[in-house]
Amino acid sequence: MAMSPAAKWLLIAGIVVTTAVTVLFARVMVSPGALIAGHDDIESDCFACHAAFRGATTDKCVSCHKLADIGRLTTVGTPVFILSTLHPFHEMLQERYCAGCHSDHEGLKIYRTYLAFSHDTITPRSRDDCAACHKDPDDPVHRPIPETCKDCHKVEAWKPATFDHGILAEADRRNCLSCHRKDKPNDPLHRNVPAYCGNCHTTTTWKRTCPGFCGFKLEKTTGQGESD
Amino acid sequence: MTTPLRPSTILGFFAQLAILAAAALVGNLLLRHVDMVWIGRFLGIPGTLLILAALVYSLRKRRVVRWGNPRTHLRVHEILSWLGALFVLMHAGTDFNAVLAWLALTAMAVNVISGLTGAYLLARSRRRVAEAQAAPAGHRAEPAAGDKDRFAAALTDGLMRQWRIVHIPISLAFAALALGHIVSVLMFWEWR
Repeated sequence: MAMSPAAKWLLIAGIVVTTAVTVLFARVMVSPGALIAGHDDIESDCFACHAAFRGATTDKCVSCHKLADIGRLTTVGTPVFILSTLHPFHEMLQERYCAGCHSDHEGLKIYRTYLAFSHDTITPRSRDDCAACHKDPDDPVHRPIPETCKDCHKVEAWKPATFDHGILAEADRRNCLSCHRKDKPNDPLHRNVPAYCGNCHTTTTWKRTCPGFCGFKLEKTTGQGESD
Repeated sequence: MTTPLRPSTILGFFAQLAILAAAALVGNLLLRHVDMVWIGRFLGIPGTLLILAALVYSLRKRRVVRWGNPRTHLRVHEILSWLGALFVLMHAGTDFNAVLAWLALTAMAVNVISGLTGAYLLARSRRRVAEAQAAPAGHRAEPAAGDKDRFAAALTDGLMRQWRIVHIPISLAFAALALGHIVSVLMFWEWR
């Protein structure tokens, strides 16, 4: 091989120095970016989270972050007040694979979106128990309704929602204004009618003929849209 | 006898470098535009394999591999190295953190520049050999040779020998740094 002895030694010295620098200053030499603020103290200890040739294993994560405490207590036992972690759902996960949602390294965020929670990741039983994570809305619409959120809402988003008036008790169903006070049209016709809207309207449609009261075709009377 | 460098040779040298840099930049921007930067993360693998495949020429030159025309091997070496370097540059454009990876990339860039220099020095050596062969019989230093022999003569020309003394350590330094980068990636890779 056409290499002078000086070049050979220079090359060997270069490899030895680079290897030594890599081992001593691994964070600068091989780390794909800074760690999250909470992991500042282990920034220079790659093997605090990584197992050699196996990646950042869940076992390493949960050795500090107890599943039952995530969202409740920090690793040193102080209460968690950060709003985004107030739902302690980690014990409900179907698969325990921390790196699937979390990455500590800044440089890896370009490759995918982390922390994208999906209800598909928790067990079916937990998915049905909405109140375990979510507080019941305290408003006139939700107060009379039993805790069956998924009858009206989907896990992907709170709105749009569907509503079947049939789930209400008879007394609540007849008390339309407890929920629809703002919907009552302020026109001469409606100002003089009794409170029970069901004399003229149904729970599935606002517009219909009302032979029982005035005989009008209601679609001509108000600008009210379909109601459910 | 000295053979001067032609302006077209110098232009060609810089054009090849510029095309490589532009192709890497366009490829990278394209990946970002279609929101598929993650592909760049894996382009280091085909890039490395192409560069390794390009080493067959070195083996042919040292007669470890005995099949194929050396001139064809050299052409394949140039093409595979260029493509490999393109993939590695696109791979490098997605992460700007680890210094070891940057050192490997720098070594590759020096290697590419050295390789292109070698290609133009070889072209010059071949012209020198051809000119010497074309001289009247009484003025020739050696008897006329065939095309294959002229290529071999150009490879062992003084300038090429000097270039190889520089190119081989550069290639080995690149190999060592690339290997370090690959081992560090495998050591910390999330295998899922």
